[in-house]
Amino acid sequence: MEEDVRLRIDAIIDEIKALLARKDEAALIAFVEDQHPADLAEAFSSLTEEERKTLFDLLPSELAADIVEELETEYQTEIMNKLEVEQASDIITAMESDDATDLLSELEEQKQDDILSNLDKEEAEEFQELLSYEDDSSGGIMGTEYIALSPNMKVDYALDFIRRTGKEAQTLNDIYVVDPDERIVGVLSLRDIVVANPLLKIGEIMHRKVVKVGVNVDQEEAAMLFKKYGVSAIPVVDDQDRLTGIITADDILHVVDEEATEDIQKMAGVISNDDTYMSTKATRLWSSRIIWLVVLFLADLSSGFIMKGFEKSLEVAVSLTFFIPLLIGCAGNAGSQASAVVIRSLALKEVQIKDSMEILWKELRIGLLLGIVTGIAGVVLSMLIPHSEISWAAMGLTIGISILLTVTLGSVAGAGLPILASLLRQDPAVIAGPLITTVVDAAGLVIYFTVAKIIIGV
Amino acid sequence: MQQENNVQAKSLDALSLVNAFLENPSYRAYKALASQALPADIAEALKSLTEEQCRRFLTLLPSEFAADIFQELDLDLQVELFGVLGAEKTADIVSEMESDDAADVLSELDEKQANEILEGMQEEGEDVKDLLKYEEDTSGGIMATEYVALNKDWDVNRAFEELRAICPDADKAYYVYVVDDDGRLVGVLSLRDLVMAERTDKIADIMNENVMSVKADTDQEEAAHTFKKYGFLSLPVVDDEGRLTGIISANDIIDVLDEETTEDIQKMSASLPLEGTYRSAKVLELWSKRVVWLLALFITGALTSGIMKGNEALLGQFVTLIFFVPLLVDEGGNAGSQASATIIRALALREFELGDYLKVLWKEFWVSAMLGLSLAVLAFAAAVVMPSESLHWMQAGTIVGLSTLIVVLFGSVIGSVLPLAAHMAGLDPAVLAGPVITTIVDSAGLLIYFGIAKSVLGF
Repeated sequence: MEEDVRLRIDAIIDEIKALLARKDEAALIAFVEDQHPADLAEAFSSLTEEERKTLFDLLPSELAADIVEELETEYQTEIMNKLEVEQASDIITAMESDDATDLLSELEEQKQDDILSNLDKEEAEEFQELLSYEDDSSGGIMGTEYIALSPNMKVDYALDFIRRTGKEAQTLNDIYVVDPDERIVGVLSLRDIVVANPLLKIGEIMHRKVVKVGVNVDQEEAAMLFKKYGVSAIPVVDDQDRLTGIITADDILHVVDEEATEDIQKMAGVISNDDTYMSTKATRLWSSRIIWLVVLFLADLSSGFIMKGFEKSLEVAVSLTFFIPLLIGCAGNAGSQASAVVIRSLALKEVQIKDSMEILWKELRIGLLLGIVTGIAGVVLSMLIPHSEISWAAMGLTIGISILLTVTLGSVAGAGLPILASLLRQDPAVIAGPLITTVVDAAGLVIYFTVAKIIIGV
Repeated sequence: MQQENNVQAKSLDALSLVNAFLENPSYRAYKALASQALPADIAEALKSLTEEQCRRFLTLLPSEFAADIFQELDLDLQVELFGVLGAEKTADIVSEMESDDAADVLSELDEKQANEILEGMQEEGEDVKDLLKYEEDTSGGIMATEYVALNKDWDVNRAFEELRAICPDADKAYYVYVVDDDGRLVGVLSLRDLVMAERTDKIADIMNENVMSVKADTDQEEAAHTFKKYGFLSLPVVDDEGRLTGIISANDIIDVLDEETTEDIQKMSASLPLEGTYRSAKVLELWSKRVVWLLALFITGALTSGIMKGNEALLGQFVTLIFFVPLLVDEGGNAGSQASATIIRALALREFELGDYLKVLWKEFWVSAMLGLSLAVLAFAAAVVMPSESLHWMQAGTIVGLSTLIVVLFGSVIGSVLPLAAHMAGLDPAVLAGPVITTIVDSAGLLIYFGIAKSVLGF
């Protein structure tokens, strides 16, 4: 499957290069027209910068727009910066409004202004409005190519209306019905209209229950609505409940990927950005990681001070130190396991805050079971590593009990801390692996030395 | 949060409508329910009713509406309700469900129960039976059979007749697909194309022949990738002979993405992936998914005890060295977790090609070096400040600072190399994340630390 695609892309690259070299404009356009824009976009990165520019100089803006929509951000901006303002504006006009807005927001302000002032007034205003929404809000991902009908339209008139205006619309499966104040009163699909009696009014055949979303609502909430109601598009309304845009299912696929990436990176202590790995500079990657590393470093210092506090015990029984990395490592792993599954369940809303007690109870039991197994492994290990100053029994008991307690603590804290974050309206994804490990380290050391004090008496 | 409250308010509305209907199951109450509440909200409301109330409610409703609600319920609740609804009513409801949802719930039942239901379903049973044959995580396993297929030799008029005839069954049809006499997929049309065309146009003349499809045995992840890349609203599925057998919708793909992410996150935290949801998993199941890795990591981690033991004399003389052990190994592990999570996610989204690997490693090397340097400065300061009787502050600073530099560099590079290597070897990179990396760095970090300490102290 993957190889088929690779071969197809390679063939496209060769053909485009050949046609560009021959400067055969007509044949080039004919060839490009037959390909899927997504394939062309993939082939794009294998062309030289000059070839890319020539290609776009030759293509009509409609065709160019289809390709630009599929390109990665860095290539989109490259092309926009190279082309004449006239040409760039034509491409922006031909693109779908949501993609065009994303692209405009990536351009330098000067370039953005140049393009906007080259568009007609109405269109420029529309983009200005779209640009004003937060990137990750429903307004930030919506497009404005929708069809709105009036409930009083006759079915045959509506069909005629769609024939005239429907070319631009993103989807004809969700056609909205609005009242004179532009408030949504119903929804129907093109098929509902096609199969209806032509003499009926739209208001008589529309569905009245419409799932909609506010323009400022977070994109993650919009994605939840898609999942919950299984819809293929959601209308976006402004503060006055007026229809202002539409989000389609393919927009949501991006949101789902983006949110998952953000969560996975947060869970590893990385501050995420929207760019792909390859287009992110090393210094930017550094700054996205160093903050958490420093925070965790400072928190980790506590473990140094805790050990300093138990310096006397350590001097008497150096053997105790042999098991420190293992003990805290194991508890940290148990904590990572628990936090990952709880964070993911919270993100998918499989569990809610009201389930907290149930979750903690579950994790307590799992933690104990995990602690028993690893505790026994710890006892075995303590017998394999020779230590002269402490008796076998005392050492084994100390290790076993400490592992049991810290692993249990790890599981419970791993589940409890994300829930706590969620209660405090913070993003639970931050409290995953690295942070849990650090917390468990400090707590684990206190437990370990206390147990040692009681059992060994040092 | 506002939105969440809205959603809660909606299911409360639905709950009161459901209760009103249960109290007095009149046509009026039914009408109110059907016109004012969406199936997903009613499904949500059912969660707060008793099993008997749910049974009564679903029995009273027309099967078609019951099916709309039913397919929005969690799978385990669906299975539970099948037990109390009786075979006949169950078969009626399943017949009205969308074929992919029906297949999903039937595959959860034991064979005898599933066969009983399938027999009661007549015609629709055949479609669902076919779907049950496919592996769960293939394109066939997630597709539905409610598609619209037109013959390429028909004209637009005939196409509209067909659309009217099969309308209620295929409300997910965003595109109509075109097949030849043998049922092989040859083209695609949007409804818009159809509406815009002349009544007498032949389908073959107005269709788009450039139709993308996946095979029924293609992995669902592959299907998701194709779907995202081309920005479809639905993707046709064909059998080995190229015959149209089903469609995958964007909503199916959203589920796949969620599922794959969950699986990756679980693997990245050293758990074997769960079959169902966390909520429905029993304590023992969760335990067994975690204990395997935990033990494996414990045994690998035991190496650290051996390394510490090997340096007993050093540690006995310079106790201060011990204070920095957790700090040092954690920092290396954390840097490694960051790198591996970033790389694993980029691999899952297919941001890299094979040719990019060297560039990635080069980049990671620089990032790691910068991270190592920044933290080394901090570590130097921390070691200088920490009071010690056995070590001169300059010695402590040098040992801890230098070790931090190298351990962070090492952790970060290992964190990016291992997932890439796994991917190249055709293995799943997701397991080589946080916990595994941390465990490797623990041992390597100690060796580096003690090695540096020995040479600085001339021990």
